[in-house]
Amino acid sequence: MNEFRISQDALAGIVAVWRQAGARLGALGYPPALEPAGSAALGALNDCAASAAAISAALAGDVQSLADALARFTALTVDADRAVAAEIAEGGLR
Amino acid sequence: MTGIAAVRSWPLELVAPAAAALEAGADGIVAGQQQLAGALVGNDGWRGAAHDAAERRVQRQNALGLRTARTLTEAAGVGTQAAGGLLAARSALLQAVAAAQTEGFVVDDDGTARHPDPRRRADAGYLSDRIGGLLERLLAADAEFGGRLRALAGLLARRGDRLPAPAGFADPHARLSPGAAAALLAALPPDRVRDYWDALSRTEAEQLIAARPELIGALDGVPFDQRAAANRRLIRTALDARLADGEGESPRVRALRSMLAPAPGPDGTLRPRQFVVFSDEGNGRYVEQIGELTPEAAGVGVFVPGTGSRLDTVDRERGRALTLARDSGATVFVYADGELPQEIVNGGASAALRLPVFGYLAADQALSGSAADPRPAAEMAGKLVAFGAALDVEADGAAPQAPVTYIGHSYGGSVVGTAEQLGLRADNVVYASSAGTGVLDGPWHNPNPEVHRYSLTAPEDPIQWVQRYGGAVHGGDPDQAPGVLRLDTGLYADRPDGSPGEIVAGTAGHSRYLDDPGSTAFANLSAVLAGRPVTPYVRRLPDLGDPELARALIEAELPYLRDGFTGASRLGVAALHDPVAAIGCLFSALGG
Repeated sequence: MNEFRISQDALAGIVAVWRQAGARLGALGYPPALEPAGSAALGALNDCAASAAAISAALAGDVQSLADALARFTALTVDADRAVAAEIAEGGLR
Repeated sequence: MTGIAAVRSWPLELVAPAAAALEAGADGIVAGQQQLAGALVGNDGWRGAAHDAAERRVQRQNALGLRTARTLTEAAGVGTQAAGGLLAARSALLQAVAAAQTEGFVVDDDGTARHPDPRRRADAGYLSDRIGGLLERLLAADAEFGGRLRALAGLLARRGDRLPAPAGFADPHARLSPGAAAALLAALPPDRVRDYWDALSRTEAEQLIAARPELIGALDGVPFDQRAAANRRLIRTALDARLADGEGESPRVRALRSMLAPAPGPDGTLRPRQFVVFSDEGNGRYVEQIGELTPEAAGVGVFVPGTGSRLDTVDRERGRALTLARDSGATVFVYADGELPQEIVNGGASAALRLPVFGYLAADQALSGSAADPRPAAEMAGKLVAFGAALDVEADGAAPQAPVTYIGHSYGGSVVGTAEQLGLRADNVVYASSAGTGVLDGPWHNPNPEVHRYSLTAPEDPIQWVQRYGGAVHGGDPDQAPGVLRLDTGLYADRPDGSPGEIVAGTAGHSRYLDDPGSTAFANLSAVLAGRPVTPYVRRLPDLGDPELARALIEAELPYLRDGFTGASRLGVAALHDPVAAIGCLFSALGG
């Protein structure tokens, strides 16, 4: 244990769980596009599915990048703590 | 127009499974978010900047994930309804077409029925109306479901033309214009505003800012950089309006121009100035952020200036805060969100002279809105508490671990003290040349039990008289308050020849140290901000000074006071009988 009150093993555990969460989000399947043949509802349903797929992929990517940033937090020093914090804080979806 | 052949080809049997897939997607996102957040909950002993930044990032992820899941669930519901409604409507249409065809009618793509036998013309007309009506009904239902799903697709894509209602809003299915969404947000507590904002795309945030900059620019819970973007619009609008009115290069116009111009930050790099509060009304209100909030920040400071500060003096206060930021490594805010008194006594010293010294009514009239009036402090303090809560949220995400320090100077000290009475949370508080400890009755209620409190008052600073005798208005002497460490004001910076500077004292000792980073007093302010060791007070001169000196000062600065008061000792006696009036006279006499 250290001044951050977390062990390397516990950190590695968080990284692993976050990678699983990212993989889970990335694996979400949405229906393939339906042939709208002039149907507004079918066209819009396709749009929903496409947007859902895009945002799920973005969420998955964000979780993976969060896990990657934490995985680099191995030195457990104050400098590393602040540097990783800056990387994490600057990331994220917008 | 879409015809029968087209609707016959619609793969409506696949709509329900597609809707179910959207619902499954919503469930999957929620599960993913729970897994993400659960990893932190399971390690709740973890501390440090990386932990705090990760926690904040997970919150943002969660906000977007939950909004997406809610929208997907709603889309799945609409899809399910569409599957049932459209299949039934199409079935009715196709059954009618089939029945007509069985009877020998030819049905065109638009639903028109024809029969080779002219005697069936009336029947053909009836069937045309019926089939055409069923087709119209199907297309209308399709358009209606399509519109609802398109709106939801827009929310999922976060395009910004329509926005979701905040969670918990009475109509969760409402699609709001940016202006309507901004108005709803303004009624929410800061944490819910932050949750909503976290899920917005850049485009959506820009739409909200463009629709109601006056709301977003001052809305606690909105990230500070977004508030600054809104306020930049407001400053530009205010400047344009004043120029259009032919105001010319007034002090206000010059101030507004300056606020829009890039300025060097603590690292010397030119950057747009960041105002997280702005109003051009009256004397003007603002809160300016100097320096970026980052995990590397040594601290976060909020400097509350005193009497005479207003929008027109924004550059002077910025200069002081910038020097503090450079010296300490902290991010510093200048807090002037309120009508700070502009005069020691309304109408200046002559008004004080006209006071029947011990008459409360006349005193109240003359002191209203002046430095001896507690009401501006009470009004500003409530807003400072709310701003402090918003700052804590902002700092938790961007500069975790950075202690938050409030520095109240002169009348600003009374504002900070009053805010502490109202529950301001702070890690450090500095009462700098402070008029007192707060204008309300009762003790400080800072929720941080480990708050460090300091005072910084130069000897012979005229504010000493207010601290000593003005307790009825400003709360008392912070130098003597329990739990407050009085810091050394010391000396000004060394002279050019290397000899020690003068003692920080007297009338100049009230403010001059703020412009002298080489002074002991400034170094102590900087040390508190940065978390460095401070130096306790060293007595070099008496606090109140020589009464004869005070008398000389009064006589030199305001000779006409001689007939009303004979010197500081007389003022002290007057203060015992009527502190309010005496404070006004003291301020007016000594310019504190």
